[in-house]
Amino acid sequence: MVRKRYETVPMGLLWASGIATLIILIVILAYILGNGLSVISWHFLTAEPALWGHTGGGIYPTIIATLAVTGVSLLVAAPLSVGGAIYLNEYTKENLLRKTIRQAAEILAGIPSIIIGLFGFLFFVIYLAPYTGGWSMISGGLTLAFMVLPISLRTSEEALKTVPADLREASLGVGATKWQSITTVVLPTALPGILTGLILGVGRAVGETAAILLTAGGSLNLISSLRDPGRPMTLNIYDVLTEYRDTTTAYGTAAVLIIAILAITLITDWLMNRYTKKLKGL
Amino acid sequence: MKRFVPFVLVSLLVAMAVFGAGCTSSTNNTAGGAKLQLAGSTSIQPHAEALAKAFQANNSGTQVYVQGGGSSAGVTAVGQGTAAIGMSSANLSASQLSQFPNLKPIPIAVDGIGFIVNPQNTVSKLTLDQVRAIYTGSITNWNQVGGPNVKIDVVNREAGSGTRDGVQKIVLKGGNFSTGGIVQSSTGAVRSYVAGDSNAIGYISTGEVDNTVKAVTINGVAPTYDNIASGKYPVQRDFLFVTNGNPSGNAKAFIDYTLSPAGQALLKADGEIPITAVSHAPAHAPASTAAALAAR
Amino acid sequence: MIRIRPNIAARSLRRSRIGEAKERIIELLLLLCAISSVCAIFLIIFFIFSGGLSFLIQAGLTFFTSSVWRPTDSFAAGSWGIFPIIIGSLIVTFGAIAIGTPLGLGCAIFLAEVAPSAVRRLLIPAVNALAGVPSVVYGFFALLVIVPWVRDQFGGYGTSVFACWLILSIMILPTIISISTDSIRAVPREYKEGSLAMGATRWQTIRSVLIPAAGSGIVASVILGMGRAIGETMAVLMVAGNSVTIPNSISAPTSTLTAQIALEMGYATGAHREALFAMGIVLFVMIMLLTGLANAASRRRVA
Repeated sequence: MVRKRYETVPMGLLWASGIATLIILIVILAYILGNGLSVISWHFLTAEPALWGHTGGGIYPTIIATLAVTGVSLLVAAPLSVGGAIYLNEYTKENLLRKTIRQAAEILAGIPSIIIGLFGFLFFVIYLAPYTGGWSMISGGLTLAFMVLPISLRTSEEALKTVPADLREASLGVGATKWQSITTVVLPTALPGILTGLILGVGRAVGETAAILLTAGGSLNLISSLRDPGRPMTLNIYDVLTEYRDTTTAYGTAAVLIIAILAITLITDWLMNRYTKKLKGL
Repeated sequence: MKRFVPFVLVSLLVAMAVFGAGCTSSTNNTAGGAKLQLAGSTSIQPHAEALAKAFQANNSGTQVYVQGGGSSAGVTAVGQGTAAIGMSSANLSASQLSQFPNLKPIPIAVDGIGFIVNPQNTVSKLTLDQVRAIYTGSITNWNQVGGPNVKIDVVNREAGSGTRDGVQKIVLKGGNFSTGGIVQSSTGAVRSYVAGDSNAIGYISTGEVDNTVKAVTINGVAPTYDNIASGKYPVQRDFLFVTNGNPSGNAKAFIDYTLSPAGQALLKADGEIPITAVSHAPAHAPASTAAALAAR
Repeated sequence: MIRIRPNIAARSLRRSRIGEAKERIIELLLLLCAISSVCAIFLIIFFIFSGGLSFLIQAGLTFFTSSVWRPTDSFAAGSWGIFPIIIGSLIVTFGAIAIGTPLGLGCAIFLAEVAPSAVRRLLIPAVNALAGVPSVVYGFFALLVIVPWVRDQFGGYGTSVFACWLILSIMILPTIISISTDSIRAVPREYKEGSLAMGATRWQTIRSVLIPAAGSGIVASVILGMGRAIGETMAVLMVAGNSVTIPNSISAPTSTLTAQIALEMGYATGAHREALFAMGIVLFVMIMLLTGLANAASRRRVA
């Protein structure tokens, strides 16, 4: 029948799109992990990098640098975003202030990382050099915070929104102050959603390169303080590929990164599933 | 779920405490203290890293950090104080000196610039004029220089590169590069590109040429150690360590180490020509080299 | 949110004025946290514009129309034309959209309407995983796989417009897919059921009812994808070739605003640095325009 045949072509194309997307992911993962998993070993993760032209080094300093900039960015972005979300959701109505702040967060989320890196370079590396140590983990982390902030702000606000109003009213009804209600009732209920937002932000921070390129310094030494320059894993992939031509280390670092990001994605998905299930149970 | 919350919070607190402790344990970040920052040329970077490692073995109090970014970036960094020593593979320009009047260039080695092609390329010899024509765009096909009939893929360094600056001064005699070529941002990137593209030509420090690429002879002269040291190979430049004002503190210690027999031997082992081995001033040598030689 | 006034008995048990002051202080702190995003934007705009605005004014229109880019430290000695770079940014972006939109939209429709739930449970995490891959890893993959392939197929450098199109379209897929899927699922069921009830096939329903109804959301997703593509730095830096020329074929190299800034920022001083900030301003304005369009498009959805 004409109508049936007419149907299968578009349906086939739709299936093809879905499968093509899946295949793209599998190809990329297979390529990176296929070449990179064999490079990962305890030595690779804990040893210092080899000198130029030599192989067999490790990426330990880059892992520490990634942890450092991510830690700094979280330290700054978490309280700001969660606090901001609490204020927006608990202390204001749907008014102009709230819309402006939300709009600002959207705009911030859309600014390309290179521009945030430019800003971070001017502000943290040059202008605030005495405090940040110039190119350093602090400069890199503070710059990254600008990118983590909008993500976790948006997710935290949504998490808080889904806490039922009855809970708040009940808490106020028994005489708790606003802040007490928030800390003892609202926050714990919204916590999985908030954590998801923070973890998503961590994922973004871990994977960021352009902003780090301009602010973190790129030196391979193991950092002894946050004011030292360092080279997070993403920057290491770029440097090692373009300057050293050490594809082995690049594959290994990329594999470690992919595994970390996959773990973050899975944890986030799992948390979101539990969270929505829990809410349904309410 | 509730069980995990305290665990997560505690881990976060522990992490914060650890980083906080790390933060406060920092002793300093000035040139006179225990942290020495180098920045600049990607041609010099591998050698600086080797020197740093050897230096740190003998001076355990100092941590030497080596960063790339290109020669201009290094000079800017040292001028602005973000690095103690800048690595430049090009002589200081007039505008750099006018911007940072106290810059002191210290030659540490002589380096040749090799023009590399893919090992599968049949072309092995070029004249300086031919190279100039290729990079200014007048020669565009390999068959114009004795190779197959295929377009030349021209690979350049970025504008801040000291190596590019050297090529512009010596080969192009100050002329402009044509705009058609692609830009790779480091020595290693140029080398790996040329290694992968059978029709490419690029330029890198001779000390970085390996068996994935082939360096052509220029005017019949191969870029060997002896040819560069004697000045026969025309395309060469000094590697400079640049400081803001006279070097002091551990910057001075590091530079002294580099110029010492141990440091110079390291450079030689890495394929460079130690400055102390150069018995004459190459044709285009800057006054600094002549002065350094005279001071010896 | 309804404010319940605690009854008088409870009020009499309440804390003293010190407790109330504490509440006020907390509220103030939280307000400060909230306006941090606004402050962030102001800071960024202030520094970027102060870095490049005077240059932009000094360079004038030729900044946008000239094709000669020879940056130096002093303004007079250099040539400041970024026309090829702007063209490069636009070409790689539009090509990425052209490839990514059909694929992403198809996948979104598939997820929203056609896929069985087992496939959906596999594909949705896959799309999230694609979103999470760092851009430098995409660039890595493109440099080692896509660039040699383009070189073999088309000759030339390999680092090219086409290589950028391929990797950028993959990078914007998750954006297009996730937002479009949500838009399609948000279409009221009555639309779909009414259409099916009138005898239309599934595909006819999708094509004539669901897609138009979700239209503004889909358009918004494409525009956001465009914003991501035009702002992408690392992947483009690694596979575009960074040649400040207008590409004459898809296998020719090119440069984009983002890659040029990243490439030269480390060492640029004086007028050169200001020029790069000016390019940053151009990029920023272009993205603001696109985001503004996206918001306008999705606001239409509410009506």
